[in-house]
Amino acid sequence: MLNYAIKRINGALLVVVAVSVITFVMLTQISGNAAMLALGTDATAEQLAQLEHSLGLDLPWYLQYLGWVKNLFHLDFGTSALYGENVLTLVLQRLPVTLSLAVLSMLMALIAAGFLGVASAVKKGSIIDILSRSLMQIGAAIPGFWIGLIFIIYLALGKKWFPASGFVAPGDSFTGYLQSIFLPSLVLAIGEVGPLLRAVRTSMLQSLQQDYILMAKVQGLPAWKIYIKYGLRGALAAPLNVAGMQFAKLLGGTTVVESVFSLPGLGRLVLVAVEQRDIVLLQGAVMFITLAVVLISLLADLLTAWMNPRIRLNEGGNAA
Amino acid sequence: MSEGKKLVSIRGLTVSSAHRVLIKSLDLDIAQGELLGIAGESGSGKTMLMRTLLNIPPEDVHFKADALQMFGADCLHLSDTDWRRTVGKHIGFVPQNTMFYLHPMLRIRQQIADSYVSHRKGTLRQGLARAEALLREVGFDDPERVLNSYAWELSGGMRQRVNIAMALMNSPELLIADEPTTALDCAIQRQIMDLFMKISRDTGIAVVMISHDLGMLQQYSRRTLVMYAGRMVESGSTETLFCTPAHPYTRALMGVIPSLSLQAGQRLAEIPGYVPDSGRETDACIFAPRCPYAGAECSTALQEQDLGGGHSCLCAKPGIGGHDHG
Repeated sequence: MLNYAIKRINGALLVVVAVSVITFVMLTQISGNAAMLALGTDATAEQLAQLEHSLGLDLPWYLQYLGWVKNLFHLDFGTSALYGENVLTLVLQRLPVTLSLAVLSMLMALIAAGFLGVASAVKKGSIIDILSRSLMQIGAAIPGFWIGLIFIIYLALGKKWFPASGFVAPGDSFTGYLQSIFLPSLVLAIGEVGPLLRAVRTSMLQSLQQDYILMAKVQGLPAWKIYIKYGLRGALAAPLNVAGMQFAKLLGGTTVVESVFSLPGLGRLVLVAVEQRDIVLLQGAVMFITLAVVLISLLADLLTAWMNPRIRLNEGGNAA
Repeated sequence: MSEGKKLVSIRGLTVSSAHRVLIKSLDLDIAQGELLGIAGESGSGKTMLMRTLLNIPPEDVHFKADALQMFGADCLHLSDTDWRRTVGKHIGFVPQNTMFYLHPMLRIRQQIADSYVSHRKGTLRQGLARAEALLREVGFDDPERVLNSYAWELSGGMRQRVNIAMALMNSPELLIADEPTTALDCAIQRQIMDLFMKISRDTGIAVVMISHDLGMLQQYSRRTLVMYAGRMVESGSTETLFCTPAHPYTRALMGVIPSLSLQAGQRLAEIPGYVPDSGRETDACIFAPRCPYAGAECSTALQEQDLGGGHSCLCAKPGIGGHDHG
């Protein structure tokens, strides 16, 4: 397990380095010049050169990159030109919203996929199996912003069960908080449930073919023990891995839903940074999201490995 | 038929998959405390018979029977759940493959007492205490260590002994062992079989051994049934069957047991042809195409021949080819 963990951590570090280089180069080289954006079109060439020099923009890109990375190690993500605040502070302000959406939608998707996936594998070809498979298609086919709008029209504006937009901090009103994130989380969950459901169903079907299921049946064990304790226990690895990847993806992928429901999350912050050409903010936010995504996929992989006793107990186990 | 109460009684069992008949009109009785061997080549239907009895048929396999009773219950009128509960309560099952019948992600202690608890024999703590005692009985000096192991941390012989202990958890009246020694080396095979004999002696439990290994059955079973292509071609006490085999197939099967007196370079004996997959629904002799003594009478409907003393045979010319074995 230790060897496996070290190997995976090395891989993750490599990803972080690669992504940081790519984002940095893309944003500094392609988008033109931050000094130009800051000074506007009226600035003289002299002023421009002065600011470029003070920002370090006249240095070769690799030196700029190294300087940026050095600051990252001190948790200095730079200062946003737009907000005039530390990027990390801005990101941490937005994080709870995005994290709430990610956690709640993941919970919804996990519960639905777990229940439907097990049921459709146990009763293959039954109504519930057909419904589950339809749900996978529907979830994949309908765009999130459209479902979001439909929910707003019928459930928020029509029935007035939920607010149509905005975020309520859990400290102010916990019910209000849950109400404000429920619909956007549901929209995200509908998109997430398909792949998760497929993973649960497939590995559950596989697990049900195993001899230990025969043994459990021959022993006359009750159905829940056969299917949950023996069946699902042998089928957890793949769905958990999918869930981990999805959760990581959600951290950077809630932009559309945050926009539809006007939630002040990370996605909106990135969107604003793009619109306003706030390069430092964009770099910092993207880097933060990258770190979070890599860290969470790493944790998901390690958890999956840890749950398999063969990998957990075998020093140097190579299986993934 | 041995004396004693019947634990299992099957009449006219026919098992078929979507397109083919796998077992045809088979009768089987298992008596209390008996040591019964079921012999046959691969594909003869022995495993299918066992799986039907335990109600774990492969997908798309169905059966019909005139009667199927076990432990006083009429399985033809039981739900799947009730049937399996009856099986779980009265029958201990020892599988062929030792690797995958134990859950690889659960420690032995997390699974060995499940049936004990589910059948309300006692609490989990009592179950584990019993498991410990049984593990000691099947030859482990340190049952605590075994309980804390995963199946893949144990050797094949150890796993099979765990399987046996697990099968004994509910003090069953019948132990069914499907090729219990196939994956094990000779010394371990012997240990396992001796263990079955000891259990049977100590507890009076009936043991059904399903095997292709006639030598093993000759040594350990009291009554032997020979299956071929989904039907019971001969049955009788092991002694009679091995001294005076009546069915040409039984004799052919005995002929292929490799002997230690085999000379170097000498070819191993074999039965020409192979077990037929299809056409098992016929009423005529199914062995006729491979039988050196087949004649016109073999293609008419066969009746089981009672040869006396519990010895019976499904052959139009029982005993043909001489009694030169034994």
